[in-house]
Amino acid sequence: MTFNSIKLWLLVSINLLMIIILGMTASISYHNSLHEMDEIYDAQLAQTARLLWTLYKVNPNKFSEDPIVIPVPTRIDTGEQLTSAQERMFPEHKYESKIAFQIWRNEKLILLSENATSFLAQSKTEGFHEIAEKNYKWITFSLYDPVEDIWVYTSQREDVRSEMSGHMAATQIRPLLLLIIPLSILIYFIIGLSLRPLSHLSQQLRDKKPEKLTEVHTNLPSELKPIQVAINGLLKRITLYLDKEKRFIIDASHELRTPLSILQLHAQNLNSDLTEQEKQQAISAIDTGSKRMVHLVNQLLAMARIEQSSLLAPQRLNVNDLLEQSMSQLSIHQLEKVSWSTKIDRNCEVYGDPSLLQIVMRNLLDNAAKYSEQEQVVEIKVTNAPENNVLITIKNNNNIITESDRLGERFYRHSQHQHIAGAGLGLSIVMMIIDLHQGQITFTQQKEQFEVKIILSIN
Amino acid sequence: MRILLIEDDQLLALGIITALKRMGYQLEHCTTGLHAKQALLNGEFALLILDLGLPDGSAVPLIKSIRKNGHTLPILVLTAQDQIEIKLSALNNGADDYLVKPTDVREIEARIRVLVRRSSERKDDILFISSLRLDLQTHDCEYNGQSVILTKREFLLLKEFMMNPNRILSRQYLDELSYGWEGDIDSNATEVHIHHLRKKLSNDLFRTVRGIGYMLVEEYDV
Repeated sequence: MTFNSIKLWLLVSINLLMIIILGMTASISYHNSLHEMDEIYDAQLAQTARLLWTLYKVNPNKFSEDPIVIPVPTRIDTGEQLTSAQERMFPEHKYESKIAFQIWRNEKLILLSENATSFLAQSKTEGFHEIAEKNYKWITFSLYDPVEDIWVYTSQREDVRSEMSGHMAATQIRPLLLLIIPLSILIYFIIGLSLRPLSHLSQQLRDKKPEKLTEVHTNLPSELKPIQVAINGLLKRITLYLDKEKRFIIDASHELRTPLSILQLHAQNLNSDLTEQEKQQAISAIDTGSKRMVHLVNQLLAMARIEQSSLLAPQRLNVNDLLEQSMSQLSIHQLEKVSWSTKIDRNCEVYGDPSLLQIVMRNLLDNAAKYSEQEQVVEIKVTNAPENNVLITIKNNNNIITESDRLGERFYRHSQHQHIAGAGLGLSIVMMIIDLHQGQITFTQQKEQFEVKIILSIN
Repeated sequence: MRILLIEDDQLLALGIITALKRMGYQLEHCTTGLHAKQALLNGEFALLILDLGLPDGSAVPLIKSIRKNGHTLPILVLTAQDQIEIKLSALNNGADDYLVKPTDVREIEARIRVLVRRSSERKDDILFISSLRLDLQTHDCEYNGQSVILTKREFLLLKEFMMNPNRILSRQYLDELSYGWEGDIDSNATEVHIHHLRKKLSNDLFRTVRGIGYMLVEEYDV
């Protein structure tokens, strides 16, 4: 059984536990008093039997074939309303009908109490036994005198005993039973009180606005501390993520505005009387500006696609094929600008998404050609690496020392590279894809050599 | 009137320069904050147009240091960044106006006029010196109630003289004003323009200060 409410669960379980404990207490006390009662009444039965036998022995001839019947006074059962003192004011006792006796001699009844007339077939064994008579259970004690063949029976209704021990158990339990309801109410309030920090916490979380996700700082009990820590950690991560997104939107809009204003300015200029040379400049500026925008929008779209696609279609790929395909997508201008030196282990394979890894290679090869001087060498090396990995290295000459720790930052471009077309998104995209493949990428600048190292897994 | 433009994007700068030159301004162009500082040290400018994201860092510290060095010229920030925090930090550190790209070049020109007007404590864009009237917005020039047609360079020079009446303007300053840093200055090109102005207006308006330059003198009771 599960409860969705801690409060209800605690309340029900505590009450159930209480009832079980009370029930056990009652049962134990009932049985204990019943046992004590048995001992006292049993002793009384035995003693009465011996007394009757002794009385018979005083004058055995007094008894004839006709049995002597001792009348039992009857009184209407008044229940338990009267006190013992009131009970004692009557000349008889209502319980007398619950006690009976018989004396047999030579298989014949010679003395009996009025209420024992029906007790005919008594057991012929000495000691205690139970008989059923008139819907009641009776406890009987029998005493035998073998010399004169005399049986003395004394009996008592069993319900006298159980009634009494029931009373005794009830006396013990009644106050406890009365306590259950006030106790439950008290428990209800205590639980409510101890759950207050929880509702306080939830109130605080409810009030949080996405624009202002500050940490939760409340005095919480130690049980709730881990939750507070976890929530604060989550809030921090969300804030970081939101900040990153905000930064990205700002950067993206900034980057789009520059080519847009180039287009606008030069288009406006074309509208006025310009010299032929100025006109040519404006036209070529519009051309370059629009190309820049197309490139930027493409890169942004690629980025959005990668961010959404956790759905990779990974497969075994031959690195040589991958590089050849990426190479073929470069422009003739870039292919002819530098000389490409390749040292590729043709059997190297990686496990990954072909279209994404092609973007990686194309971006890196494009960069290598773009930032190299004319006729310089771009080196591509592919080898197997330890632990089932493949190492891809792309090296090119670059006389501008780049701050490698900022490489891959969105929209970051080196101040001395502003004359080279680019949006500053290529390496971010590369890093995102490598990250998605759980690979590693490092950039190193040594003297005039810039080197990109990628480690991808074969599996 | 010379304007210093600090913009790292060459194409954008080219567009602004072409447009503003056509509207009668002389522009000098720098791509970095460092160059801008040097230019400010060596030349006199009526206004600064500034992009915030420069290759050598944000331009806000540059604005701050320009103001610290005692330059009072109006600074117009022209940038693609439109967050309020950046706007505020630029304006609070000494910028006079803020324009977000992309913007119509006519608005840039209007704002330039407003800023220069304010810095020379004028109510409108019309300059009056004695019987000479020059409308900076429409480029209309009137002398003694007669309309005068001016070329672009003549307008540039006359505007400068009228904004600084009774002040000697050096030859070098006037040369730079009409031809810029890169311009191939004919040794007496400025002289020729002033000669034209004297002919179109009045001989007595422009006084030659030998070895130094020229001065526009206000005529009292002709």
